[in-house]
Amino acid sequence: MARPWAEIDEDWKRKEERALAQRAANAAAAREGRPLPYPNPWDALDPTKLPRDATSETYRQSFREFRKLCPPFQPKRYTI
Amino acid sequence: MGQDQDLGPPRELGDFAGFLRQLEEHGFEFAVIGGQAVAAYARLLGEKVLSVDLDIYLTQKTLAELLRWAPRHGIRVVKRPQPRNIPVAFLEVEDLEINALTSSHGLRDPETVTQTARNFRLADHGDLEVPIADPFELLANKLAVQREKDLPHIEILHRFVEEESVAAFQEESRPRARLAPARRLLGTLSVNVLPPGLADRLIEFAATPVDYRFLIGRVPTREQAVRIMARIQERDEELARELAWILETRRFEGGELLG
Repeated sequence: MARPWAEIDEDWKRKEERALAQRAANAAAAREGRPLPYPNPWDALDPTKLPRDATSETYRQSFREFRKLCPPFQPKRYTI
Repeated sequence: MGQDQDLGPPRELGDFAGFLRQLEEHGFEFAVIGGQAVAAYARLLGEKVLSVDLDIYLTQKTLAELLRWAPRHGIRVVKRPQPRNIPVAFLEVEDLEINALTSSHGLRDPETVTQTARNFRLADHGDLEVPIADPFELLANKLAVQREKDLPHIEILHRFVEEESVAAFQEESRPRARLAPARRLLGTLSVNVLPPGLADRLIEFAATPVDYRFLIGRVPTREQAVRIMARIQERDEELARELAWILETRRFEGGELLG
């Protein structure tokens, strides 16, 4: 049987409040230089993830490495 | 496309080089479609196709920018696209006719068509690179528009994409790349089975289990399916059993595969 709309709305409200609270806790931890209490679970698997204090050159190098993993689309070329 | 009642002399793509270079230098995103696009692919097949005008495909926003830019660069705007009418603007440069379209039956949106366009370098025109719509897109467009006069163009495009399908089997090593053109051809033609001639050629170049699995489900005749089985029977018993199972689920009627 389909769930009542009121129940779905309440569920969404609860989830939204939870997400905003987690985001605020992460933001506070980031400001204070502490580890994030609610890290993105995918970050541990991402080889391109950089620390928060990475330099511009580190970002540029990371992008170059990323491009090797995911090169841009190259259109086919012909000469006529 | 174009104003059939004012047919000018037949043109080659190079005749529009000056206009195309202007578009390139000013950064307009577009793709050539229509007869000149077919002509480019025909050249690669060693054939010649001429068309009176040039059709370019672009987003509405790009067209609006182009129409503002054109008069200051020696390009006459003959007619702007009208609401509730065919979405095309007619331009003129000297005696060259250019049609700028923002939609066409069977053609995907301009963003997609311009992003998937292929680059043709015009060797006789200072290495000018011209984006030409993908041949599968062009074929889908021609098939959807269904004009008698497009039949020769459809034949050329069909032949080109079949050659591309065979070349993929000959040259590509990655499974997806080997099958991609043949898959796209099936989708473009909205069919489940390969044209018989193409199926014959792909069978000759089939080399991997992925190739055989693809073909056993898509060759049009029982004779071709039997030929595939004969090729792998002694080489790979496990694959042969798998393909035999797939074959059992297919039906042939009068030599033709049903769906």
